[in-house]
Amino acid sequence: MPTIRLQSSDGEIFDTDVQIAKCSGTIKTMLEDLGMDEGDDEVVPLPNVNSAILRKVLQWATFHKDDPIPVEDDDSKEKRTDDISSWDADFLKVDQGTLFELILAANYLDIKGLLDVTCKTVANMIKGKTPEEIRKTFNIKNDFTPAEEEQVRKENEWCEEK
Amino acid sequence: MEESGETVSPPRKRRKLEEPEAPEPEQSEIDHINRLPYEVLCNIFDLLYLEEQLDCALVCRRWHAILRAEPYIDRMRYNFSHCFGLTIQADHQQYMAECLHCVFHDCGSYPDTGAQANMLEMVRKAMRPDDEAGPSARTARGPTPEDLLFTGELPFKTLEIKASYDRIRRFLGDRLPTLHKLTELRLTVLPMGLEDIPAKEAPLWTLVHDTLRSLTWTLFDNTYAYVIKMPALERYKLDIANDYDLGSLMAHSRQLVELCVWFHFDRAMEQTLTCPFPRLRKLIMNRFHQGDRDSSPEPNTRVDDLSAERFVRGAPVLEDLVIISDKVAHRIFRAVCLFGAGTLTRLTVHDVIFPRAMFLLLLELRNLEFLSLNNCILDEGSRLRGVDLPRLKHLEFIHSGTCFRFDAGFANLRRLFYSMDSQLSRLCRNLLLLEDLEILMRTRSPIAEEIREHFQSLPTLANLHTLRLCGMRTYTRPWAFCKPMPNVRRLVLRKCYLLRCNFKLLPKLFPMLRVLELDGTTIAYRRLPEGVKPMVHLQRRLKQFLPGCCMVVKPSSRAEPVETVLLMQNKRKWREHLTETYGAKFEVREAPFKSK
Repeated sequence: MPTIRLQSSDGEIFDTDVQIAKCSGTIKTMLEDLGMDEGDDEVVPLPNVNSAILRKVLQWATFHKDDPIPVEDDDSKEKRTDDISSWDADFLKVDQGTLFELILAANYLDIKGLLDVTCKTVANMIKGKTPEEIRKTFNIKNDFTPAEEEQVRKENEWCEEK
Repeated sequence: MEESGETVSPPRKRRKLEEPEAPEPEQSEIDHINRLPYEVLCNIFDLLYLEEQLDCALVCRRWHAILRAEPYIDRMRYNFSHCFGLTIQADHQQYMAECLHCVFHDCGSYPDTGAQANMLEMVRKAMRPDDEAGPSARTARGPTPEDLLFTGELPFKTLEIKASYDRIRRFLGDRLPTLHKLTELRLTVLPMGLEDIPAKEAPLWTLVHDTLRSLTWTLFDNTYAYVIKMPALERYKLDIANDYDLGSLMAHSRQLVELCVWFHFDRAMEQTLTCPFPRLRKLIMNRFHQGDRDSSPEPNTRVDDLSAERFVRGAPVLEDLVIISDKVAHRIFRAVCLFGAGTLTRLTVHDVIFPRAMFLLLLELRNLEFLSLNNCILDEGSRLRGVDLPRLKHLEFIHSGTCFRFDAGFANLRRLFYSMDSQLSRLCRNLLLLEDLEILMRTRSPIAEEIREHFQSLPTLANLHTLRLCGMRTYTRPWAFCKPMPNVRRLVLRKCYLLRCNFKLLPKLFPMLRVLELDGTTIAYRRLPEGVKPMVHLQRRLKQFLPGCCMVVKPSSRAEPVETVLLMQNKRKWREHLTETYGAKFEVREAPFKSK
């Protein structure tokens, strides 16, 4: 089975099955643009992903390697967030630091499936919460002045009346 | 524009500014979610429903800025194409019940009489025998949008109706007061429909609303007999094409804060100038021209000057003035400069040929912070020199190169929007504090190679963080037009045609780039990539060279094969090509307004 060598930001090398690596749009484009042939010994540097996260990403990609290729469809306005598979749900039971590192990596590597499922996980963490609860969940600082907050509340009034 | 720029820049810097001395927080106290770039946050917000998005807008400034800008603000709008009188489907009822802006586009008011006849036939079929004819007739098969609308229980604040005048009148009737939550009403008057009551027989329509703050008339055809009684009205936008329009403005002049008015006849302007506007802050005035532009107006008489002077004195808090056309400018420019200089901070002038003596009065506007000159010309003499407007921060200077020179008096300028009329390098010598520069290429020489010499000799603009280029074409080396700009964080390409788009040079020229924005820009591919949308492919390529940069693609940006792009650059050939391919439907329809 042809493999390529991926190098994380902290220098660790991962020998990876080409088919698995190619679920990343970024790596796929790189391979095509650089004209790398399978079997080359060249190392593909991934300066934005550390080894711990890259390991998780590859673990996810390995499990999902036989998934059908997601169709690119900008028009799908599906707002379902309850369709996360149980394997993914378990896989994403991690601390917030890791979860958001995974999102950043999925975004950088352009792995649509992983990005979707992680974003859904975050959306689920937001759903049903008040703004104050959302801030608490994610440690977001309330940087509105009281006057501004009042103003923003007013903008929303029409909706809160319901 | 400003806000969205803020939202896409990475949050780290702001956080640093806020908490300079804070000790390294515990792992569990880090705000991880705001490390995500704009595009990913949008991915997450997209998964939420409107109410949830509104809650999120309350969380912090960054989220608020994102959710209160395009495209989210657009989704709160419900656009509804409909023929008044037909029933409304259940899912559309749901949309109506959730939206902020409700837009009704009456299909029965289309200029195509064939389509109109069909529509009216459908309405007639849906009606019960005892129903009254007309657009607000009830139907047998379920609720019409009117039934829902006039319960007054829907949450929307803005209502927009596009229909012929008569159909709007019959649709709204005297039911406007039932919409007690409404703050803004926009009415677009389309040409007369098949069964409309003609103008001369139309009954007087009284529009009454106690709390409505904003009213807009957009005309493609005349309004007929109407009066408005709106004691809370603050913003009014209208065309004055008849005496009813004029009367509605004169009756409300004392309460208006913002007015946008297009005069269709000279008496309308004269009479408007006699009204007091004690609360007016923003005024937009234009003299509507049908067909050819009038010859330059007669100079003001002493009486004209006095009346303009009285008008300016009668608007003591005017801050923002937009004047379009010779007629308006010649009438009030002098008075505004001499008597309005105390409060005026923003001035916009379009399409005016100034006598030099009159334009000199501009120097009186010592408080001006924003000035926009578009297509303004001095009719004689040389450009003004030594112009000194000490508070001016933002200047737009489009096709107005004969007006003045950029001397040392412009040293405080932060933002400049400039059309390429003269040497850019000479121009920027005195503008070292510039933060935001937008350049509109002249149509005849927009090629990157030709503007390179301008850019190459540009002084170092250390504060420049946003560069916008409008109308550039390149045949080779698309980024080679400038020397490195170390602090540019945002590069916007508007209506550009890039024949070769290689991102390799980008990191060298713009090492700090965070956002590359394509707005109506076309990028040529020798061969379109397979299996992936070209814009997605471009995004990936960009990330290879600038991992920290995100690409924002605004609508009407596209990637096309080289031949198509070459064709598109020539408007006439492109039009021929479209007509050949798609038939005649690409011909532009002129607005069918009939002036009196």
